[in-house]
Amino acid sequence: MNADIAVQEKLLEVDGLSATFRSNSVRALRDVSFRIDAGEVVALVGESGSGKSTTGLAIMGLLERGEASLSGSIRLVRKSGERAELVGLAENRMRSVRGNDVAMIFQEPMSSLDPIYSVGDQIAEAIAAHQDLPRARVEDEALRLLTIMAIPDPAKCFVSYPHQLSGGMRQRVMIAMALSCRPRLLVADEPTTALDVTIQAQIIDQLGILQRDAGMAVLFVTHDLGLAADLADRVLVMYAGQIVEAGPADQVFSRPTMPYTAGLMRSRPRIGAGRAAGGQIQPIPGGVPDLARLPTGCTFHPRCAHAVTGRCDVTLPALEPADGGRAVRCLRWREITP
Amino acid sequence: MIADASGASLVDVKGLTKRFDIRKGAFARVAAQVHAVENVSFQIKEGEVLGLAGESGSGKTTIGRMLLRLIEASSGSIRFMGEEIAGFDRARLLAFRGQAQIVFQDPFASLDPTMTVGEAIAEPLRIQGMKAGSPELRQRIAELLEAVALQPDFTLRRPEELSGGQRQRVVIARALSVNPKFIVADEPVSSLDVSIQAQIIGLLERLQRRSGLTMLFISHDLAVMEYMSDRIAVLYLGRLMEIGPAHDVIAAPKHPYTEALISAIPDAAQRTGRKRVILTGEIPSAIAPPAGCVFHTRCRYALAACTQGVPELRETRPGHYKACIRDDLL
Ligand SMILES: Nc1ncnc2c1ncn2[C@@H]1O[C@H](COP(=O)(O)OP(=O)(O)OP(=O)(O)O)[C@@H](O)[C@H]1O
Ligand SMILES: Nc1ncnc2c1ncn2[C@@H]1O[C@H](COP(=O)(O)OP(=O)(O)OP(=O)(O)O)[C@@H](O)[C@H]1O
Ligand code: SF4
Ligand code: SF4
Ligand SMILES: [Mg+2]
Ligand SMILES: [Mg+2]
Repeated sequence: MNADIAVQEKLLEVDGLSATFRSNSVRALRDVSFRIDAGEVVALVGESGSGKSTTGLAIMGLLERGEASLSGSIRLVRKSGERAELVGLAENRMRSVRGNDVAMIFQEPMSSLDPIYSVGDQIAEAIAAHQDLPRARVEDEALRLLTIMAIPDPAKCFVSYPHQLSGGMRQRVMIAMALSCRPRLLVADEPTTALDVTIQAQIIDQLGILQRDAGMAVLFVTHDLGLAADLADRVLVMYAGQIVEAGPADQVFSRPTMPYTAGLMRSRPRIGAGRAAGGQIQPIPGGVPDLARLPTGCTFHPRCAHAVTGRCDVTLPALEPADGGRAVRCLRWREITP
Repeated sequence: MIADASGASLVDVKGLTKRFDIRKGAFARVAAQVHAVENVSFQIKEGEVLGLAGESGSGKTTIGRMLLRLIEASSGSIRFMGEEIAGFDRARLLAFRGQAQIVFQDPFASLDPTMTVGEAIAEPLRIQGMKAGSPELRQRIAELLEAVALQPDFTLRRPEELSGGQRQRVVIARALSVNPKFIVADEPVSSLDVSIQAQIIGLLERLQRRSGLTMLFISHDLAVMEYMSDRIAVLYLGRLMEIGPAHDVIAAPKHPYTEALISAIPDAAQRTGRKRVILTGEIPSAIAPPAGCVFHTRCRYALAACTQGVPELRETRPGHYKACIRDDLL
């Protein structure tokens, strides 16, 4: 996919989204804005607690049941062509959005599978919930989904219970279930983080094939920058509840503009660049701030080598357009970009 | 064997094997055995960092724990400074605990929540006989906190008040407290965020270089491992597939499993310019591992002969060994 293809069909537009958890008054998201076009793969990266899962859950309408208060807007173009505002949408309508337009997969598939029903029953139920098919066809469709997820013996998997499957197989089943509604947007929250690399490679490969075949958009949440660089068209970098850099993946990873993104890239050992090859890593000093006591001004300023007292600790930078089709939240990006 | 020719080895492992019994029924009879580690041999030179790579369940932790005699081997030999550790009596074992320490993966589970940071760091020293509350002990704690870049006032804090990175610093300070010669670092940075992970890697690297610490560095992250290690050993289903200089193993793997493992790293294809290899199938059960080469069920180069005998580790280049019968590959 390419960002400068002329016709881009807008699918999801998040605008000024903020989220505060009621239990602890934590403001997990502050003024988050981004868009996802139809068929596009967008990676949402950031360290633990930066708000990645909260963003995914907000899109799925899974936050509002009293848990968090949301402001701002999440607009989705539905299959029917209707443009729906998801913030504040009534639960029965949100359920229909979840069944038809968006689906989500999680890091731990066990939490979303019911241990007492067979895999087949659960997939069949998911299919029956959003497609009007006779019973026999439902079963065929379930087997088809298991087959396209490259499950070696779909018929055997169909009659298995979740605990009888390996972690990798459970994740495939989860993806198959999520795809049963033929969503236009899949929110994938660290779906392969708990898996071994060789199994991760299989599943990512499979997911990529399905994504391209179905023209489905994916919001891929991960803390693995290498994985994001590998699979995404565009990338969003989050820090302490805000998007601090966004843009085409190749641009952001090869020439990061925001000092935090640049710091993340330098923190990471790269394969083929070990000690023997003279490789260097350079950590970012300090740790992520406590969301209940955020630094003033730019939230990254206590850790930033480019911070200027009187400026960075005072003024909150806006996410502004920068070169290469990206957006950057930094007061000094023009001065510090080489 | 299976070491660099030069230098004395601090740790010398031969034919190391561990089988766990799986018991069933009212009489807890042994129903099956997990082949966790099978016939593994390697040496670690003084001052060297040996990386131990492999996927989940490949036997990395089991090897690390056997080397420290936290669990007993089923068979094989582990020599530490030339002495067989299985033969240690109580006094020698206590001294050994002062020479060899472990850093675990999960800094949340490896600290006692009721102990202060100071008490946690002092624990191995007290086991070695240093008096609680003595000025030497206080002095040593202060030095150790400084070595891991924590403020002196951390002494009185409790684990719940610390971030993951801070806890891992405390765990490292505790392991270093007795001035060990050898450390098993079992996934010491796997649970940490990238920016914090880099801080801890940098810390371990500095400490290791400064005191010439010998280390077994366990990780499933090959980029982190390559960065930290002088040599890398690759395990699959409890068996050693390949061992050699870190850069060679990563840049020019000799074993089909290592090739696939490296190629599965998301940005490896881009960075090494090699074609992506995607393994089919899953890791077989360690209760009934495949006969012959344990990797044959997933190996794209497997021949009929691969199911016959277990391939021996053979030297393919100086100091670089592989356990694969085929010489016409890679
Ligand atoms: N249900 C909740 N109630 C209160 N606070 C929450 C809740 N869920 C998340 N938070 C807080 O909101 C912030 C953002 O959390 P979120 O789970 O979105 O982070 P994340 O980027 O997904 O992190 P990770 O990489 O660890 O999954 C964190 O400070 C977290 O502690
Ligand atoms: N106490 C035990 N009883 C029975 N089986 C065990 C025991 N400890 C480990 N095993 C088994 O031994 C094998 C090796 O486990 P080990 O923990 O050493 O793997 P590992 O390489 O450290 O994996 P990970 O990357 O998941 O930490 C696995 O099959 C595991 O299930
Ligand atoms: S605004 Fe200032 S502190 Fe924030 S990233 Fe830019 S230079 Fe650094
Ligand atoms: S011995 Fe055979 S199966 Fe094993 S790695 Fe070599 S080629 Fe593959
Ligand atoms: Mg999350
Ligand atoms: Mg382990």
